[in-house]
Amino acid sequence: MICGWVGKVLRVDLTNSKISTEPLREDWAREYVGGRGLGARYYWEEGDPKVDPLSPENKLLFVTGPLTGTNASCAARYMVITKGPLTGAITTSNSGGHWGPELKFAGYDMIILEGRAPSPKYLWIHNDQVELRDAQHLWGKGVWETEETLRRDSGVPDTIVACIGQAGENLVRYAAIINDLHRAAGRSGVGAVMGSKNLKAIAVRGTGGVRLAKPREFMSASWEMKAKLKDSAVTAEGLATYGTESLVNVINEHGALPTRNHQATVFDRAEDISGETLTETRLVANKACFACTMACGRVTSLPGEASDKFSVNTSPRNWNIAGEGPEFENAWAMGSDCDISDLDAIIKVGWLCNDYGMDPISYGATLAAAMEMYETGAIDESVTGMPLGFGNADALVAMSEKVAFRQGFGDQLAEGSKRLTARYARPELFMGVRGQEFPAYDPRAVQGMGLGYATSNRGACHLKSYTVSPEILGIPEKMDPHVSEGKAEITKIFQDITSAVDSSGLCLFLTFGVGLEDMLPQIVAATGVDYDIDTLTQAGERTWNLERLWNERAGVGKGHDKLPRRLTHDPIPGGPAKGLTSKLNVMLPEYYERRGWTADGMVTEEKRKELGLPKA
Amino acid sequence: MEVPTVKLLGGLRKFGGAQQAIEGGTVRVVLDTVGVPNDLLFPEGEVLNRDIEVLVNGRNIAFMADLDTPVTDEDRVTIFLHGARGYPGG
Repeated sequence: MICGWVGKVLRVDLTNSKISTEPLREDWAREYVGGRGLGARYYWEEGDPKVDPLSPENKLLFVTGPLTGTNASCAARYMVITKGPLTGAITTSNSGGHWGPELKFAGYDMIILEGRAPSPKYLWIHNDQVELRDAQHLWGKGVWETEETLRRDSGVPDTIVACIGQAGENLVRYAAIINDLHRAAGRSGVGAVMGSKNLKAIAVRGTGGVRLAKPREFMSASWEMKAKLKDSAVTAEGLATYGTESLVNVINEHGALPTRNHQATVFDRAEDISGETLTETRLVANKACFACTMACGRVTSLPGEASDKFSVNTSPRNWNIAGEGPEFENAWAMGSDCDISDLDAIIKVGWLCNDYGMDPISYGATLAAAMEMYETGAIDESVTGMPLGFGNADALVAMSEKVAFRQGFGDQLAEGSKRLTARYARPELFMGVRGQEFPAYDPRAVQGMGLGYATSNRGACHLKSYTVSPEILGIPEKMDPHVSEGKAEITKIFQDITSAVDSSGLCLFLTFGVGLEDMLPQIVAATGVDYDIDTLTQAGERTWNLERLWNERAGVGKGHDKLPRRLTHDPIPGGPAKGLTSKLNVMLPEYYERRGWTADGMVTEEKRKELGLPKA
Repeated sequence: MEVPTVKLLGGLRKFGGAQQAIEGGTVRVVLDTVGVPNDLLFPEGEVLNRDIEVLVNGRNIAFMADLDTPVTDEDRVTIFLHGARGYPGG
């Protein structure tokens, strides 16, 4: 077995309580590197594209990368791969914290979960001891209590837990899987898939390590990358000081911060929810994942009167405790998109989302769509049960609980904004792609992001081709965010490189400070595989095309690379990007051409052979 | 005298507060008087630090007249330090 890997896959048949191990496919590990790519290859083989995502027939994969658990900076990531109940597409949600490394230390590269347990269970992994255990006593509990209970009851204090909260149990279509209390495999509803399998948690303790092919070379390369991270202001200081929240003001100043369900792109109270304000008023400390040298996590508190300003039944008081977040995406989705500038409400709901186990982007954006429906008369208080106009912070807090428990109007919000807006014949108010809500960059003001969203295999996502780098930060070169020229090329390149990074086990945030070329020597030294930049990038391209082919079989491939009409036809009403619409119609044909696909977006037979992709 | 509104973001705020009115004319004049140390703005002489971005009314000066971009009372200048070196970013 090539190094970097344990060489073992854990397969769990939940229906029959059957647990087995099998060798990792080394050929696939070489071709796809690991993580997202390797998971996609397994899922291609085993995941039926026509299956109901919430049925026992859907499979749920937890996959590490070859660097996960090493002491490379930010080598903490694991990837969850399944068919997303929000999107119907292949989803690849990844998380940091300590869970991925712990799985590796226990002796497993990945877990494949099949079927549905007849009653609530949790999976206990302690090196070679693997058991399905009763979880009846945990069902109905939030993430935080579940983690604490499992750790306490196991008698193994260093146990690391990935689990679902009430949102996953209740099949909220954007339920997340949470590990280490606050780290999330957040998007597309992977938590609902876990809930549909009656699997509450996976608790892991491992005492092994990760074999490296060339330890000396690995350490040398690792220190070189750490030095570069220290040299970059953003990875050395910026993320630690302000977190991703620093982007609120940056993006707003560019006139690209979606506001009131994308009706505007400038939020006049952005300062109130900014990273600067968070740091000055509510930040307790920053926090790092396993092996992280950046520490962008936000440990926050609601002190004094703020402590009990907002409450829900499951969390009537805060008792001056500290939670984590918000990140930029929380602050945007639950802030400007809902026209809410109460930072305490956003912090509180961010904590609740972690405890309930649900994605704050889709929650906030779905609520924003509901608020527009409410203000335009599509729904009223007889439907919502409370006033739901823009700016209602009390509703933001209250509805989060109702969504997690599917109570009242929360049951409709739990379906996501595509289904919600369709239900009331207002589909034009859905702001997303492939059923998944947009992240925090308006595609009219940052043209490349529109192409990235439209073509993202897992539905609208900023983490698959972050063209904000050249369009806002000028890296690797400055590109005008208002024009479409050059965006097809950069989007394709970024998608392929990002796929490779996602497959390595490293955190994508590293790429604020270093490039793939800085990660490459560690991947080579860890695995012993003679990758170079071209083969690594091609592995990323292979992954991208395989995901696309899977989506094609699932019926969400070509023809779904679309943006809402609001973004392609309604000019931005004011601010720095006033008058702009997305030029997706210009960028998309060039993108298909650069991908080597057909004019309507199909992966060609020639491209399939070039990349060595399997046949359908 | 032209006095545009200048907004500093993030780590640059320690040099002058969030928002201030500063003598303008051009971006170059603003940068000379904003309070951010010159060796941070121009570590290699005349060329603006690649880690710093300057916007006038939300547009990066790289797409206008760079440091010679004119600014008036009506304009808003935003200055931020990012320090990003890699790509494709997070």
